[in-house]
Amino acid sequence: MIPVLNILRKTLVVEYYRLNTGFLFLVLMFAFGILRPEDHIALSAYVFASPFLLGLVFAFFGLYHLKTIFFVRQRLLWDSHDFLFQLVLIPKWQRWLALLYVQAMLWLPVVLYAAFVGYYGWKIGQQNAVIATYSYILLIPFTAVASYEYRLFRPNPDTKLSAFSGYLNRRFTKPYWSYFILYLFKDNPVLLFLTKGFTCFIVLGVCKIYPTDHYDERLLSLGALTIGMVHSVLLLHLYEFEHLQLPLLRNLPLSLRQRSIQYLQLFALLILPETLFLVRYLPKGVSWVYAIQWWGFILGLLWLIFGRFLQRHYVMDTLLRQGFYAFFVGFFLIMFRIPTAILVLTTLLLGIYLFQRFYYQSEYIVHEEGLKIRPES
Amino acid sequence: MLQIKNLQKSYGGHLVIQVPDLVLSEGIHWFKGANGSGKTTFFRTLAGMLPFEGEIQLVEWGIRKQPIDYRLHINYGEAEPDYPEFLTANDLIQFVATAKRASESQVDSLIEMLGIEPFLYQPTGTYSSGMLKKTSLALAFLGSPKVIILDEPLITIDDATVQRVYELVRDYHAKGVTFLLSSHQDFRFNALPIKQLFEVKDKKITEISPSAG
Repeated sequence: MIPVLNILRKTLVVEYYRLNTGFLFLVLMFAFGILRPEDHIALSAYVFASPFLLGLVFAFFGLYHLKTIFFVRQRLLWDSHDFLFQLVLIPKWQRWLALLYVQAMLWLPVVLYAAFVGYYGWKIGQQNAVIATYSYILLIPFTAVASYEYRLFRPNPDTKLSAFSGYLNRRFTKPYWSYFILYLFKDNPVLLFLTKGFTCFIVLGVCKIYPTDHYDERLLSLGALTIGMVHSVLLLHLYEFEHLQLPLLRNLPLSLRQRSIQYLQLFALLILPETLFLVRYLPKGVSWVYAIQWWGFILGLLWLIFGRFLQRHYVMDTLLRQGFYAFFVGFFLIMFRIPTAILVLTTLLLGIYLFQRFYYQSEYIVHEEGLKIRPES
Repeated sequence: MLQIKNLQKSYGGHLVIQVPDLVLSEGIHWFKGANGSGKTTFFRTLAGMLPFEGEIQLVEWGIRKQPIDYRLHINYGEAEPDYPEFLTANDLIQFVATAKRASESQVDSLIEMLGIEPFLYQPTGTYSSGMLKKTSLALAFLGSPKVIILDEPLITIDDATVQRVYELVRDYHAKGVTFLLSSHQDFRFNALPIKQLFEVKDKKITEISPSAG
């Protein structure tokens, strides 16, 4: 049994954390960098008292759960991981235990966080909500085991086309601005929903956490900064998607202005959920002028981050380091009350400048090994 | 037609290809070279898809000074095309046709000629390599290009389609379009009136006589 667990740990658990370091780092940065432990306790008290919000948190955890399942099932489709199908040869209960071990390891961040806030929830008398949360946390990994078991016994699934999608393909031609959104839905749905769930939760959090007489707009600006930084991962996907799957874009006779408009449409669409959440939960006392600046600030950050990708080929490690420094620069600028309008203008102008300057200079760097001349077969 | 001066293309400091001076006149030009010799990088650079050092000019349009006119008149067909799997051939063709200002009749004619109709509305994720290749060939012929670059245009397609590609190349060539083709197999372009033959080797491009090919 130990060798099986070792193989699963190395191929799935360690790989999962290695590849998701960036994502988990960003979550940690927000969760424990901006919010103090007291804020977490206050927020959990608020959530435990509201069945609706508790449901939202369950949905949020559920998305993370789907992300882990998606990762494992994708790995099972890789040729290099075919040997994992040998798992069907070991006794059923051992296999289930091994799969449960994998899922428990991937689920660990949620378990630890739920244990932390649940302790305080119990102390303030929300026992029923805490029991519901713990039951959910402990039972949901079994659905992952069932999902892995299903895939192990049904390898290499066929792709089926629905009549409906066939009809849509005949009836409509997809506009360019929809390509990346469709890519996210198709290839990275969990990343998309988790990012959007997280950023919408930030909007909800900063609008609802400190309901005082005079709302401090800096809190909303910090939320916008975090939302912009969290989108770095999506923008890295956009950069890779266009370079690797749509290299023909750079051969098209489109002016930089036309291309800018296309990106503007895409970015506005990307942050539509956060925009709608802000419109819905805008705190009293915060003007609509500020709300527009808030929207512009996120848009500017997206331009700036994407412009940086064009300026220099980033990998996740570099992105993390740069993102970390950029976040703290932004944090201090906001805390020192630099007007949001100036932040909007600076980020937008700088982002658009980088775009115009480096769009055609940008290239996806391949590994040096791939450049060596191969003998003809 | 196409003038290249002091072209250097590197990846991360690693020189892949350099072309001090090369003028390609109107006609069909064949570039030979081993895998990894830099043919595709050279073609992609000419197509405006990769940054480089040096100058490239197509007729009167410089790649940097007139980026839109330049790209309007130079098309590129990938050797091993790979598209987002949720897009259909129709999505791609319509998108590129709009950008390259191709007429509807040209689109319809290319779809029919290359036999794309049966899978036009299927996502490319369901395509075989031959179907992907046909789609990329259709994209390469859209609009009113002066130069069409086809990287390994005959691989993965069936013999009937190979004949149609020859036919398309001859038709467009008769209208004054210049072609830059690459192929590993020596015999593949014998059916076409090749004007110049080049060898891409040791990071350089050298003209060789047709008999050497």
